[in-house]
Formats: sequence, C-alpha cells, structure tokens
Amino acid sequence: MTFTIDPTEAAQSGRIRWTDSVDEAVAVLASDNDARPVGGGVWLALRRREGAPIGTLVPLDHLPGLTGVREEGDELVIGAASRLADLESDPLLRTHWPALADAVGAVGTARIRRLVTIGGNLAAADETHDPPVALAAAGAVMTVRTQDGTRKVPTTNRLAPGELIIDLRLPRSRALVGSAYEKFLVRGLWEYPCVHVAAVVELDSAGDLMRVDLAVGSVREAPYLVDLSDLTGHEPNRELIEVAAERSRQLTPRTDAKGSADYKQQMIAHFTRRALQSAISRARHIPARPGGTA
Amino acid sequence: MTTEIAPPAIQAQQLPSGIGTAVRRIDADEKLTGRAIYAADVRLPRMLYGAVLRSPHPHARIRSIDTARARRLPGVHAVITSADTARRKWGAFRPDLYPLAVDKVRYVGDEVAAVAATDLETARLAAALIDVDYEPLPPVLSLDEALADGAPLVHDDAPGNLAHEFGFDRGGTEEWFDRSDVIIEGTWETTRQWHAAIETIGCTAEWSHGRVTMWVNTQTPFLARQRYATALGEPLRNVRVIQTDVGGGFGGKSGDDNTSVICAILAKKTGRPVQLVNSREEEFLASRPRIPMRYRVKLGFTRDGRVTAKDIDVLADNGAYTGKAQAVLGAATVRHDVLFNYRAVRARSRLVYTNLVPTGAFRGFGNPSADWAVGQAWDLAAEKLGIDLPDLFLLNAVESGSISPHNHKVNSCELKQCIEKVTTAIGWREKRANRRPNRGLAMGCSVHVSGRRSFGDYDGSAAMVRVADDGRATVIIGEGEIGTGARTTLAQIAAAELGIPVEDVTVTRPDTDLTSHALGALASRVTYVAGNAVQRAAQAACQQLLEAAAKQTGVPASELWIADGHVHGHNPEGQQLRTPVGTIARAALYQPGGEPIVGLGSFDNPSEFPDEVRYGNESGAYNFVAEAAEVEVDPDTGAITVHEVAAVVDCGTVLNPPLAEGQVEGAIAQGLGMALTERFHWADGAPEDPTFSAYKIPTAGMMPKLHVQFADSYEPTGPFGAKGVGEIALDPIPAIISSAIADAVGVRVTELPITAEKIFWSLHPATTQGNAAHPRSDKEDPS
Amino acid sequence: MPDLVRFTLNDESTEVHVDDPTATLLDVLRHKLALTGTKAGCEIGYCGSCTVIVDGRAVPACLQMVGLLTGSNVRTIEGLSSPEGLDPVQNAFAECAGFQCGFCTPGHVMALRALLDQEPDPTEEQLDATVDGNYCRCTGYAKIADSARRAAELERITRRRRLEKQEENA
Repeated sequence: MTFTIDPTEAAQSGRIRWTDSVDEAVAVLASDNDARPVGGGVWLALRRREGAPIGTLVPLDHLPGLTGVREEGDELVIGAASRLADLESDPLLRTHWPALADAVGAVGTARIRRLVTIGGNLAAADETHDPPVALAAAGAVMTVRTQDGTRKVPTTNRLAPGELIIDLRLPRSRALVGSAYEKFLVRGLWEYPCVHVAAVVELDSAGDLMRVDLAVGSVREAPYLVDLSDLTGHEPNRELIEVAAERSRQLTPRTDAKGSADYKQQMIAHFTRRALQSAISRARHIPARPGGTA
Repeated sequence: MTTEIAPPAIQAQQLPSGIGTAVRRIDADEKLTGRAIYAADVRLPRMLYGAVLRSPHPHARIRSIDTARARRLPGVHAVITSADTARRKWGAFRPDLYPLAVDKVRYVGDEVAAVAATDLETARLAAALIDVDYEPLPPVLSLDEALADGAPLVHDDAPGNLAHEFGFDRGGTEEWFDRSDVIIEGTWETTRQWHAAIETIGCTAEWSHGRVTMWVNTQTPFLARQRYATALGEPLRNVRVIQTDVGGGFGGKSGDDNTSVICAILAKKTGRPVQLVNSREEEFLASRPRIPMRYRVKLGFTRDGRVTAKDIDVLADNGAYTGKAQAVLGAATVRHDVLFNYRAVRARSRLVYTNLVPTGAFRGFGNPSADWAVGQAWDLAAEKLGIDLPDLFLLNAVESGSISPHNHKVNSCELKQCIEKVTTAIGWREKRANRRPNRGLAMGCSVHVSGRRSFGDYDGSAAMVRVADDGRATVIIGEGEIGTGARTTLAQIAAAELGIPVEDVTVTRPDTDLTSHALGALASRVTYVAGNAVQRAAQAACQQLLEAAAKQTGVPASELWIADGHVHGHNPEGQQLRTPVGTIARAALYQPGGEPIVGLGSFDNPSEFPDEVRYGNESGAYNFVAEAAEVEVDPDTGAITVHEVAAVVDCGTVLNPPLAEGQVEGAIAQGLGMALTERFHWADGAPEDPTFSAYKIPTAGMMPKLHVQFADSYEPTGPFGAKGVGEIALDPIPAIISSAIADAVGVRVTELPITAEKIFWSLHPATTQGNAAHPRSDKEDPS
Repeated sequence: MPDLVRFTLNDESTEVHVDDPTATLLDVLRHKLALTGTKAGCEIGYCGSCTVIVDGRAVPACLQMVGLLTGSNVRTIEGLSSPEGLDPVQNAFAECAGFQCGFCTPGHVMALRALLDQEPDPTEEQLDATVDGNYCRCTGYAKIADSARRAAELERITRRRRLEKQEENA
C-alpha cells in the first residue's frame, strides 16, 4: 500500500545539532532558518506539546564560558546558559542584585529551575516570566552574538532569528543602590504571577532619589518600564511612592483565573509600593520589614 | 457472664490485635517501587493508542465530518464517528449521552470522533486532522440562561431544560416558621470543582470471541460494566471489566463519561487492543466535576436557640448530560437534615441542563454544597441569637436514636463529642478571648452515610475468604482499592477474624468475571458494607478451619481457637496443640471427600431504598464530623491564609489510624481547594486554559496546621464497630473558611470560590472599579 | 533516520533510537523503555509526578528533551530499590502512610532521594520545600511531610550503618 502524504500532515520532528564552540553554534544558527538555541528546553518542550514545529535545536550549556556569574570591571556578568537553580543561590548575584536573585528564585518550582537557563527564560519573551522584569528594572544589557559579530542591547529588546544570547550584564552594585522584586501569588501557592513588579533606586548622599526604575510584568509582551524620571531629585517619601503607585495603576493587565484587570491594577499599585519601599530600604541599608507598608 | 452492653471505650479495648493499629499497607511495595499498574501502564501486544476529537462549540449542529485526512496519516488504524457506534443513549439515571455525538454537540469537550494509531502522538495528530463542519447554535451557559423563557433547549425532550425535579414539605414548615423568633435567610452558590486526581481517566480494551475485556481505573467496576454494555449495545455478558490500580477517584472515576466506551469501540473496529487515556486538558474539559448549586436557605430558631424549620430551594447545574447529578442533588437536599433536630423541612430542588461540561459525583456527594449554604446560615444564626456557635450546635445536635424528617435512623452518634473535642482542639475559647486583628475563627458540622441505597434496592457486598494449604488467606471481593487503603483494612478484618497475620492475607482486584457483584468505592461504603461482608466470610472460613481441626485432633471445635496463624487448644491428654492453619487446610483437602476452606460472607446495608421524594433511611450507619478553622486576611490584598484546621470525626472504630487520618487530611485539603484555589477563567462556555497552570489544587506549602482526632465511638452494625470516613471531612470546610473570613474582616462571601479579589473589593468599596473596563487584547499597547 | 541517544539509565549504559530527539524523556521511558513507574500527570511540568533524577538533580521528565541527555546519568523509580530491599525514602513512605493512591508517589520519592543525595542532613525547610513542588490530591500532604522527615532519619541511619560496615571490613 502506498500513502500520499501531504507534508503538512506529517508529524513535525525536531533535530538536535551539537556544536563544540559558540562560533560553530552561531554558524549553525546562521545556516539553518529553522535552527534555534536551546538551554533547558522547557519552553520549547511546552510549545512542542502544543504542536508547534521545533526545527533544529542547538544546545548551549556544554559550551565553555556560557555558564556562571563573574565580575568583569564594573559589571556583573551572568552566563546565558546558567541554570536558574544555580543563580538563585549565587552569592555574587544575591549581593549585587537581590531583586534578580529573588526573581530567578520565583520561577515555577525548584524542579523547573533546575532545567531553565536564564538566557532561555529571557529569549522566550514570555510576559509572565519573572527574571525579565527584574532585568528590565536593573537596566541589564545582553551580549548578543551573530555571525556578523557581537553587540550589546537592552534585555527588553527582542531577539532576531539567528541571534544568540551569550551573557547578561548588570552594573556592579554601589552604595545607596537598592533593588526589590515583588511577585503576588494571589492563591497562596506557586503559579504564574497575578502581578509582578521590580524596582531599582539609587539615592544621593542627601538621601534623595538619583535614579528610580520600575518594571511591571504581565501587562504586555515585554516588561513595561514605568516612566518615573520626574521623581528624581526628590526625597523618596510616602507621597512620592504614591505617585509611582498611581502611575503604575494606569497599566492595563489582563483578566484571567488570577484576577480581573481591575483588581490587578490595584495590586500593581500595591506591589509597586512594596517594591519601592523595599528597594529604598535596601539602598539605605535598612532591612525591609517583611510585608510592611509605609 | 454479664449481659450489660459495654460502653464504647470498653468495647474498643476488646478489639482483636491488628484492629485499630497502624498496619502497613499491603500494597506498599508495588506502589513505592513504580510497579503498580495504573490505567496508562497496561501494555498488551499489538496495542494501539486512542485519541478523541472534541467539540470546540458549546452547542452546534454537526453538518458533516470528513475523516479522510486523518485516515491517510501513516500509523492510523481507525477513525470512528457516531456512525460506528450503536447510537444508543446511556447514563446512570437519565440516559441522554451518546458514545460519540449524534447530529449535535452540547458542550465544549463533547466527543465527536476518535482515532486509534500506533502511538499517542500520531493518534492526537490524526484527531486534529478530522474536519468537522459545525453550525453553531445559541447555547445556554448559565442557570439563568437555561431557565429563561424561550431559552434554547439542550435536549429536545427536556422542556424548560429541566432534567429532574422534586420537592417535599415534612412536618409543617410554615407553622414552625410562624412559631420562630429568629429567621435567617440567604442564597449561596457553589461552582464546578474538578476531582483532579493526578491520574486521569483511562481504559485499555481488547475484544476476543465477541467479548470485550476492559482494564479501567474505575471506582465501580460492576456499575460501570452495566453502563458500558448499554452504551456499546452489547448484552451484559459480553463485557468484562477489570480494575487497574486507581490513581485517585474522589467520585470522578465512577463511570459516567465516554472515555472507556470509545476505547472499546476503537478496539472493536481495529481488532487490536487499544488504550485511551485522557490528557489533563481532556480531564478538565470532559470529566464530571462537582455540580454548581444555587442554594437558597431559610432557617427558623426560637429565641433560646432551638432550630425549628428549614426551607430550601436548590438549582443545580447538570451540564449537558446527566450522570449521577440527580442523585447528588438528592443528597444535597436531604442529607444535612440528619445533623440537627429540625422539626420541619421543606425543599424544592431542580436539576437544570446547560451547555457546559456535565457534572456528577465528587467526594461529599452534594453535602459540601448544602453545607456551604446551610453551614453559613447557622453561623449567621449564632451571631443573631447571640449564642456562641459551638453552644448552638450542641443545643441542636442529634444523638443516637434520632430519626430525621426523612426517616434517617441514627444508630451510633458522637456528634456532641466531636463538637466538644474540636472546640478544645482549635483552642476556641482561648482564641475568642484573645482576638487578633484580621484573624477569624469558625466551626461547622456535617453528617455522611456509610453506603447509600441508590442504584436499586441493594447496597450490599459479598466476599469469599479462602484459606490455602500454604496458610495464606485470599479475600476474593469485587470492591477494590482507589487509594484509600481499603484492601489493607479488608485484609485487617479478615486477619483479625481468622487469627492470622495481616501479611498472610491477599485481597484480589475486582474482575467482573471472577468476583461477586459489588457496588464499589462510593458513598463511603467500603469499610462498612464490604468490611461486614469480609468479616462474615472470614468467620465462616474460621469456623470451617476449626471444624476441620476438630475432626483432625478429636478436640471439640468450641475448645479450639486460632491465633498467630496456628490452631491452638489442648488435646484430651492436656498437651498443648499448636498446628499451622495451612496444615489444617491441607489435611482437610487431602482425604477422601476432602474440601477446601472457603468461607462465604454477605452483607446488605440495613437501609431503605428512598422513594422518589427521597423519603427513606438511606444508610445503616451515619458518620459525623465537627471542624473548625482559623484564618487570616491581608486587608491590603484580600489574600487569605488558613493557619489551622481542626477536625474530629465520628467514624466508629478507627480500624487503621494513619489511613483514617489520611482520609481526613486529604479531605480537608480538597475542601480548602474548593474554598480558595480551584477555579478557571471561563470564555465562551469553557475554561480558557484547562490545565494545572490555571486550575490550582492545594500544594504542601499552603496547608495549615492540622489537628485530626477521632471520637470515641462504636457502631454496633459495623465491622468491629467501624463506619465510613472517606468523604465527610471535606463537607463543612468551604463554609467554615467563609465564616472565619467573615469573623476576621466582616466580609461574607456567598459565591464560591472565595477569592482575594472578592474580599478586596468588599474591604475597599471606595476604590474605583472599572478603570480597566476594556481588558486589552493580547497585542494591544497598554499606553 | 532515527537518532541514537546514549546515556546512563539506572546505572546501566543505555542506547535509545528515537525518531525525534526533542521527544520527552517521559515519553521515551514509558513507551520505548517500558519503565512505567514514572507517571504522566499533566505533561507541562506542574504536578511533579514524572520527577526523575538527571545528573543528581530532580527534574520533570515531561519537560526534559531526551536528545539533550547525551552523556547524562538518569535515575528513575525503577532504579531505586534493590534486591536487598527498599530505599530509605521508600521505607519512610511505607512507615508513615505517606501515600494513598500512590500515583504521585514515585515523583515525591525521587525528589526526596535527590535532596538526600545532595544534602544528607537536610533542614526541615529543605524537606518542606522539596515536598511543596509536587502535587498530591489524596493525602493533604501531612503524611508526606512526615515521610520526608522520616526519610532523612532513615538516611542518616543507613549511612551510619554503611560506614560501620566499611570500618568493620577495613
């Protein structure tokens, strides 16, 4: 018996292409339109189950130099193929960027964090993911490789096909810088966030705000950076935090099982307050009261 | 000899060894090593895998189905539609479900076509390649839509979309309300809750010589067999059902859905074994979740706190097809009335078709919906009467000898003991004396059956106990194990009666060809009903052993006894006899006219088959619970933390404490899920994301501190004094959590689930709602 | 052409021919290798019933692409007990009635096994955090938490005995 198979009816079968170096991996990505890098493969495994074609996967985490956290000059450098489980307890990351360490530790369960890489988590460009929100508030950049070379772009940029994230770079922490990540689990158990917010502040020697960055997740594809630049130069007091909360409350989240859009707006404002208070406290080297309010 | 009836405490002390102790489960090794065979673990030579194509519409006419593309896919062996079925409607009480949709689909998830292929991925891919031309019809997606004048009909033979209705007025309700000083009224609603057993529903089927064997993870092999035969258009004798290991039941695997039926049809069509197992998404779309009910309740009390009358009006969302929903509605209407000394009760109950996923049996069987409403009404009553809730309960609680308005005859009853003990366990008085901000406390009670006469005038069980010449006993019974440890407790009962170690007892799996008829694991019945049957069978086997030993030794049977697997006694010379039971069994066999040791035992629940208006003593024994909880609310977010839950259960003698505790602890977790976490966001008649991502069952991290105790109790009709324990601890939990939240922050939630959001809006009424009146579409810019 | 994936499975070197190396380890274990002790509960990484140990770490087999396992060391529930008896973690679940239907149990057992391999003397917080990820619909978790604590005790006892035996032999 012969079968006439319509190619669209054949099961999409994926391939794995092992390489020995970043150069070779980049070359494969450039030569094969269906090729993409893979870290833990979690996000791709989920898409595969939904029936999405997978194409050629180029594994990364065995390649030298793509894992671990290191200091390089004024920067903290995180290898893109580092697993979240390793990052959440990394002493360098926890010291310099507690908000990012918290966001990394907030992803799914420990089981999943053992598979997921930070580069993969970011490259998935999924609005519900935790680390991209903290990275956005921190002003992190990513080193991106193509066959044409290397460039550094903000982590909020979308990747083009063939691009490979090599590492993520954040400034090393300085005195008077504080960061915080708040994820609201509305049902009291682990899931994607009801709302999630990251805040980064820097104070001057007088205690006034030099810098304030606030990123909100799950309101659009990329983390949304709330413009608070007009608040710099002022004392970070309750009124100022209210201005920030009111501004973040204007975002339009989506109604789902975790809450209505209306409720989420109120919660974005609430957790904006908490994240800012916590970041300000950390900048002042005062431990934040857990769950405390101004 | 004294003829006095010993009080429970004394009787409990007389329990034989192995009863009331933490006996290790007899199935521990296979379940801990991964060797237990669940539905999806069955592997047969040449086995194919099935997949089902389901309706994406809540209500539509099927214009045509084109299976050509699916058939062409390599690896596909069969594609079936209703044309390949007997086109016969089936259902436990009201046959209205076809194995595959005929002409119309009635909910998102309705089975339309199915595929068998060499592997699961191919089967699922092929199912997606079936082209169905639908003509969408206007659906009814809520109770109100279904009951509206001129509403579209879900089934043409159900005018007004009513699947079932009944009512009664017992004891002169109006007169009692007239004589009441305090009236409490309110309406409470529940929502669909899924069993979410970690193992989904599944079947493997194989035909041979015109008979089909179905390996199914069903709770009720014999009842399921009957329905499958109807659905397949086969005589009963052509269907054999064998129970696999069951990865959690909770009512969800009691054979009201189409998965096994479709599996058998695919196996017939292909002439090969076929395995069909629900994906998690299918389990959410097309299993039989808990019935949402809108429950209006009116209670009357005298000034001093005596309850007078209760009036209820219940609307239940049947979904698109009727499984056990009408029986569940019956329980939701009458069961609670066993609990308190109501003088009069009146009810009107209606089961309503909608174009939503069909509903059915779920642990508690209607009780949690009744308790959600009536339990909160009692909490309001205590407040209005100015009587502390435990005192109000104690004032009205039933006792042994009580008879409900529906003729439920209460045998053993330690409800008052449960209330008193739970008051202490939660620290009620201390917590009341030292109130803390945003913390609240509440209590609730419930009653459940130990078996229920509902599938005809039989709620019995029969067992054989065989003692072989190796000294081991085999309990042959059709009841089975769904995770509760039932096989272990049945083994304990047999071992205790026989005087052999429990490790020497095997309990068979249900197989409709081999074991006697059994109703299965439902209505908290196995310990009580099957336990009695096993006890009687073991007694008969024991008697046979003793008589055989008497013949063999010359010592009268009345002077012999069995302990530690040996027959003991003294011969006429006064010498001690100690012979292994296996030796006795072998000697009984190997002699002219030899016979095996096989005891037969049978027990029918001493209950009445309730009439069409639910009058009748539905069970021979009733179990009781009192529970209490302390919660805390975060006023900024509305988020709820449950700190402590205490439960005291009257289930008669506790045969195996860790197993009984496990039933209570698991039931509390499911009750907390029903109350707080388990929900979907719905769109167009279906859950938007039918996975564990949206539907959250409780995890270890959210569990409160638990205080689980048992009342000192003894049920005279139970095996060693035992009653059922499987369901009851779930029933009052949602109402207790709601009342505790009301106690904490003054917000009374009337619709399940309780969400942080509902509490938040009640606490912040001035906060503007409606800012995001136009929820963005996925790609819309938020600015 | 099928891909060949080589890895160590329950201490034996294993070669699997797969048509699609992006297939999940769960699928390959259950359908190619007839190791059905690893359970499919949700297939999206939520329930934990498919937890296996890969290179010493407990991960969900439903999200682990088999082709990425080349050279890895994989342990499943089938590799845990030996002819001498059950693993201390398994014994703990039996002693504490830490399972009911048993379907989620292999996942819980493997997660705790991985923890004890890494942390022979874990804190209560580590034990609770390990249990928290895995769903169970039967037990309400109280007896799983008891089992986890007991598993840590039995692990300490087992290790001490092993050490004593080694010293005796030496």
